[in-house]
Amino acid sequence: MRTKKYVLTEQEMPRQWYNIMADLPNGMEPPLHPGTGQPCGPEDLAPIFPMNLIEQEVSTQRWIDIPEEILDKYAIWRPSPLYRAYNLEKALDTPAKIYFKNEGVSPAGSHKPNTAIAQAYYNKMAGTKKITTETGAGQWGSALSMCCSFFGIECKVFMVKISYNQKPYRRLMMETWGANCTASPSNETNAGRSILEKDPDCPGSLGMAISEAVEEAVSDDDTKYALGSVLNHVMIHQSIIGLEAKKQMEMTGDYPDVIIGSAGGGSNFAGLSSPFALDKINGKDIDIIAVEPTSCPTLTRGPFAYDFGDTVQMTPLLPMHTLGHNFVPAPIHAGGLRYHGMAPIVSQLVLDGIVRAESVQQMETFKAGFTFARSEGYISAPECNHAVAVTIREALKAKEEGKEKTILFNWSGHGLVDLAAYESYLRGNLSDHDLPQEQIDNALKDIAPLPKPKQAT
Amino acid sequence: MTTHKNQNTAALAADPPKDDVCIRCPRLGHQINFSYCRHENNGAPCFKTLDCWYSYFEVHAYLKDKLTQEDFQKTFLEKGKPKMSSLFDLIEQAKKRKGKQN
Repeated sequence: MRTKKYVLTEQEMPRQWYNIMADLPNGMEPPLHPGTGQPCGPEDLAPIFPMNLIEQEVSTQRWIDIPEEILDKYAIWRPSPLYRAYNLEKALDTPAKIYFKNEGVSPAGSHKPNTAIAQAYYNKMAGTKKITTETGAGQWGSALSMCCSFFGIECKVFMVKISYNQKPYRRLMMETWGANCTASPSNETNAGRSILEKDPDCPGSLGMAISEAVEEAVSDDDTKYALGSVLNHVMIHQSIIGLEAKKQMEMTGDYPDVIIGSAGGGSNFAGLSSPFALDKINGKDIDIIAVEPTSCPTLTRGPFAYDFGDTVQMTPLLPMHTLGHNFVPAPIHAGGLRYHGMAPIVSQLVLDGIVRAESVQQMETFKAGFTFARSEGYISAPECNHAVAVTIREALKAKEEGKEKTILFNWSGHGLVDLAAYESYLRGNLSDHDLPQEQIDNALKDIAPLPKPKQAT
Repeated sequence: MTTHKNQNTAALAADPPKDDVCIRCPRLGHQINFSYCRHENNGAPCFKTLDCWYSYFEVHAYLKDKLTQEDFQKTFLEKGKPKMSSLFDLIEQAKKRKGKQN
């Protein structure tokens, strides 16, 4: 019988995380403190993060030992299996070999606990008694709740009120793991009270929830804050995905030609791709693709786009992909990578030409999700379907070209608590739309006077 | 499987759909209606509103009409802060609130 799953033993689990900061060809600019305009120091972050995590945040050490206590908790579901997607290959009639790393096997159902466990552990070591965070639908909040319970730390999750009311199952997961899940805005912080005074029915927002979580951390020396994406130390913890995948790919006898991950905040993408990106930096020929939702064409075509390219943290992507062109072709542009919620490490990898971005319209992502579910069985989290969609694109391209490519993608989580999105698709409530050029031209008149970055001239 | 018309190029509605029409919010991770997006940021629209709703109605023209030029500029045309800078800001704000309370 052919091998479907490639499984490592607990003993074969990587003992160190990989930090790509050590190998970025052009380094990274340090974040500036908005008050002083100077590069930030560890003391600026100390009110909300423990020093051991701040040290990781600024570290350029290539390999970082994973403490035994973390490995012990990782072992609950790690090493996660690598699958050969034979059934998807058959459904697509492609010569491509498709592999996926299944991060949906964690108790919380996604890759998020890879960093939540590490953050809970380092906080415990630093003497933290309580961790606060914010969450929307609850994927991150539930992961952190579970991991805090492992280490006996109190966890308080400010869940955006509209999400709190719409996503009871995730809220119940958090409570089952012992967390205090509070609808935000709440009466428990000055930030929340001030919002509720103005609008008692405020449905909340991520911005408000973050304000409350940070305020609670700042207000109590024993309380710290945790973030599930974007920051460098999160990317380091997630590298366990790619490090395991490298060992498992060796077991298969193949090496990926294409690596794909969905990129919202960048952590699952960086987690899978960063150890392979090191190979690319060292000369290996790999196409590494960060996938995200398509953006409004009025924001992506023409000179407007060039306004977002001047710093690493903001928008390195566009000038890289649009030099010498009059407009950004929508399929190449990826709006979120110029969005400040993207991990600076991922932005830097794009700027350095190690990673490229693709965007996918939502209908294509759901169609891909159904194809995957009906061939491989797993129902993907909607954001994960972005990676599935581009995997299918690449597999079909391989078929057209008659090439036997090897594709590896990160299946970052299941969608069993996100079925409302699938229902919208099934009921025909979703749509994609290409704007007529005339409409785009009209929109572009708004931004014609804006300055253009040097890269675009 | 239900079939959907993809890459539609028909004329879009000028006004937003009713609140029973929900699309997936990439930030929150669940279904949301336009009314929420329109007021998400302390009464101002979420900065992703144009990206998320352009397929459904003429959101750009609609918000140009409803917002002042300054608010439109602030919401959609100005650069966002990197996450770390936002955190520094939030720390400072929280310290100030704590100071006032004491």
